[in-house]
Amino acid sequence: MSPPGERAAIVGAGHTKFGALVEGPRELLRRAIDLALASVDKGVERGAIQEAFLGTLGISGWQLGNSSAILAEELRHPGIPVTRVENACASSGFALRAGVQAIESGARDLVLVVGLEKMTDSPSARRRYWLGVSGDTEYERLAGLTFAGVYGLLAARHMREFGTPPEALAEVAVKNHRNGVLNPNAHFQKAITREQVLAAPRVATPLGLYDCCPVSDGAVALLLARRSDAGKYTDTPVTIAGAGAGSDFLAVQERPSLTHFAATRRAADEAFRRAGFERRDLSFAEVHDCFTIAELIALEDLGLAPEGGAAAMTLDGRTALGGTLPVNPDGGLKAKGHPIGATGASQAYEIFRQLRHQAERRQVANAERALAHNVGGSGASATVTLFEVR
Amino acid sequence: VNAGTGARGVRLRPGRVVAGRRQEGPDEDALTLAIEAADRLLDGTTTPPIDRVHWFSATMPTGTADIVGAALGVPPGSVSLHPDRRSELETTRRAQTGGAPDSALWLFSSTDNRADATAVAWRGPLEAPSGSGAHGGIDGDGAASQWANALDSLPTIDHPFDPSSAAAVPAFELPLLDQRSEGAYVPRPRYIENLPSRLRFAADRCANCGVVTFPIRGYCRGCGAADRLVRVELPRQGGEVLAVTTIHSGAQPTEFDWWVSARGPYDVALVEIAPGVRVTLQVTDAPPGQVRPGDHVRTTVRRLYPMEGEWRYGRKAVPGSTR
Repeated sequence: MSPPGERAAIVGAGHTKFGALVEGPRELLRRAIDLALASVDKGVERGAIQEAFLGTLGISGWQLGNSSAILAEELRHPGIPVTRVENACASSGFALRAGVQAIESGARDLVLVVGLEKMTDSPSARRRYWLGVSGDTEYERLAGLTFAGVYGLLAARHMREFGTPPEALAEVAVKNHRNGVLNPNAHFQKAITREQVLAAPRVATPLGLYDCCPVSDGAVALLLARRSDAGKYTDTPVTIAGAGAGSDFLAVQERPSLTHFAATRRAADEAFRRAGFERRDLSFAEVHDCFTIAELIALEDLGLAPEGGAAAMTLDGRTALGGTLPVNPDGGLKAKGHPIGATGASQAYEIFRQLRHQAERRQVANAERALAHNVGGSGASATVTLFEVR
Repeated sequence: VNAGTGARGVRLRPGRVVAGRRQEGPDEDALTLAIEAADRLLDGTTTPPIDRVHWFSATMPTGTADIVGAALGVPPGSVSLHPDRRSELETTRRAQTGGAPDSALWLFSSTDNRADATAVAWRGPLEAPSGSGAHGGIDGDGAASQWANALDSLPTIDHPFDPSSAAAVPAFELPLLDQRSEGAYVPRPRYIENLPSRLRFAADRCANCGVVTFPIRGYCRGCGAADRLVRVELPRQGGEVLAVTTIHSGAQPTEFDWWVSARGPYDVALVEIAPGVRVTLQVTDAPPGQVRPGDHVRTTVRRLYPMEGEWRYGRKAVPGSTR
């Protein structure tokens, strides 16, 4: 465990609106970066950034390879090294981890981490093609599954093993939509009812339309500095207390458990070991709710709910804003939107705002410590990152 | 229903009759019917070993002989695909006379939109069918049904179909065979390499630790050893459904667009075929929602999806606990 002085801290962060946007990928990148630079309280020169990491899946193939160079161009600082990090929906969770390691290792002093996806400008058949490219190709995709189908199987199994009721899945959507109303960057800023969720058309049973996150565009940029240097940029940096990550078998059929993600458990264990604080110290959590069942699985894997206990926790309102452990105060992937490569960075952005008490109407009271959980695909990779203000 | 011990041949035909014709399903063709007939005849046994397979089909492209070979587990190059010519049959039959008993497998299959869809599997030396006109229909696509009619003493299996689908299959666009990948897909050499696992559930059992690795990876998933693997075949008659989901229109991968336009929503099941070994299978011959967790399903080879000018094949789940 690094001494606190050598830890990384977020000193600035920018977030475009998420949704079906007219802007193209270059403009989204530029906007997120400019917002992040402008957010630095004491100012920063873009020329001071030494390295960048870009999380993106590259959906639509508009620039499938080497998109790193475009990030450098839009930073208007070509020449610095940029690495594209691709772990499906966890791309910028892993990009953030790479940035943290660049700082913690002493190799860099100021690093930019960006997540980007532009998904809505392709025809729907092409979008469907892309949404299945990160699962196991041979045995899952080519048995007829995209991620909705894989999570449908996981939901069916969770219901069978733990008696998880459909109402608990629906409540995840209701709660996250309620939070999304309070987030001006959210794709959906509209409350929904449990009845609407349960009556919606089915997508991949038991999951219906409102159990699924939307297809969204967006970009998020984070500026990372060494914690001990962070005072140059701001008096309220947000420290990254511990970054953990893990992998699992790509295909669900090869994993011993059909109700839990081993990658999340490994990532959480590592993050808490590094951070040196406990789950009970968390003020709130940002978890990967690409489908409603994913939030329940996440709460159990992260040790925030007992096995099979996430449904009761959700139905009791303990994960709502004002509950004992608010989950996804920004609306989560479900309501805020899920531009694949931008999601991990977006979770860190929300935590940056919350821990600095800048989250306006969705502010979690007395927020001091938080967790971000980002999953690649159906659990083949995951990051868990812990943050604190001190 | 199986052919039963000692039977030399079996005739298989679709259970569904449309406009007076036994009609195959949208994911069936002369290849899948031939494999199903052979599976029913052999009933999982390959003793004595089959060293030669003669497959008569007018409609299947040459390259599909290798797929049949992989599905039957015979050595590469053992399957000869004959385009249903009487003279070829006679020549082949005579050449076989005197060969090792039971070492040859004869397959006839046909789906020609006019006659019944039928497949015949016959083991051992091929005896000329008795009765008048027995050889009359060998030319063209009617071969299998002609032989099947001639060999009327053969046990006949009506291949089960979903009764609710007893209607003509809506036309679907065969030009879909031109489907090209836009990026991620399984290249043909990888598809061929993986056929033993996909079609026969071939797996490796580790003599070190006992763990079964499926599909074949070349090392043990339990202990990492690569030198003590024993090739095994997991039961193709199926297993227990652990979870099932109904994929509605719009949630399918683009490769399955043809199926959704032909049949609509479909189920995908996670099936346990041996303790701790699972496989993900599309469900066929059943309306969505029929297969439930805890059910037993059997498996059958079907068309999965079109890619780059050919159909790709794999196993699917079919309701029913036994063959």
